[in-house]
Amino acid sequence: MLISGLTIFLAAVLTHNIALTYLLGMCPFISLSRSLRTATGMGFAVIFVVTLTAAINWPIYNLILVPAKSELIYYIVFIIVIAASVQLVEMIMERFFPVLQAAFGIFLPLITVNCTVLAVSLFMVIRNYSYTESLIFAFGSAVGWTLAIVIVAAINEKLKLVGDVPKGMKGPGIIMVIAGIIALAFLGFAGMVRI
Amino acid sequence: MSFLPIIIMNSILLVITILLAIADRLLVTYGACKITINQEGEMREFTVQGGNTLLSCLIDNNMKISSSCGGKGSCGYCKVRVTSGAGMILPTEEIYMSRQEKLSNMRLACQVKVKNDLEISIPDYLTIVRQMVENKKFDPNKRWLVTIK
Repeated sequence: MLISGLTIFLAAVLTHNIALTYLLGMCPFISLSRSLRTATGMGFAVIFVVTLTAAINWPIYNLILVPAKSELIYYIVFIIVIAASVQLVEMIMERFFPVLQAAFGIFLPLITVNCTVLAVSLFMVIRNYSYTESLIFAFGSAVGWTLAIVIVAAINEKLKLVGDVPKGMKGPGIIMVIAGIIALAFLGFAGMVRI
Repeated sequence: MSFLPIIIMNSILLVITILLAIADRLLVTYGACKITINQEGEMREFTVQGGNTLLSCLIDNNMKISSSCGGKGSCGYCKVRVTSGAGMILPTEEIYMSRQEKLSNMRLACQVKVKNDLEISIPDYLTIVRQMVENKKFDPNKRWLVTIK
């Protein structure tokens, strides 16, 4: 179990990185990777939300939808559960943890529509993970996404200091090029672990 | 044809709606907030229920605000100047603002939450561009340095 969990975690972070291998969650990836501070905040918020929604979606699928032979509606159910849980978390955070809300809560509405969150829940179902495996996979995928956005943001900040980026490539253009090169670098991990 | 998926779907929706309604009743306590708008020298005022974003409040009250991403904070088009009541600029907005815009209290309407009374002014970009074309003063490198009245 420990080896299996570790394998899933490493695969989700490195070899099957959700941002660089599947190119999911690209909208916030491109828009928020211009500053390291913003990218880190967004990354932590994604880790929290992805793990939370996987923890809620697994029992809903396996304990309600599968016994009732209603698997066909799992897409819609997952989307609704993700949107509602993020909304609830935002409300709770705003009321009881205002400091935390100021630091990470501002990213929560952006995550509701981040396809990484839905993709992790769907992969969890397709790959028939147990509850613990699902949580490890969700956490690993979110850590992988955070790692990717933080690396790209850090390179982007260094590039700003150099100031040599051609005019037409500034903004999303150069971020896509950086992301592509980092994805190639992550290909070096391919074959290390498989899921 | 089985109706079970439909019943389950509706039951889940019902539970979520009840949960959100309870949370909204117990946790959101901003009350009514007054938004004062200055657009092209014309003053408008309306009262909204606090807790929503400024963009959704403006759209609900038939104000035309450009936003291509629908409030996800990824296009940076919904810029308005908030003169009072919005607090500090957020990291999610900073990346879309020039230094000039930050100094003149420009904010992204989709990122500002209405928690108290707000005073805003909406820049009329179309009029600014027309004036630039008429005066033949358009310089693409200085387009954000135009003073918005």
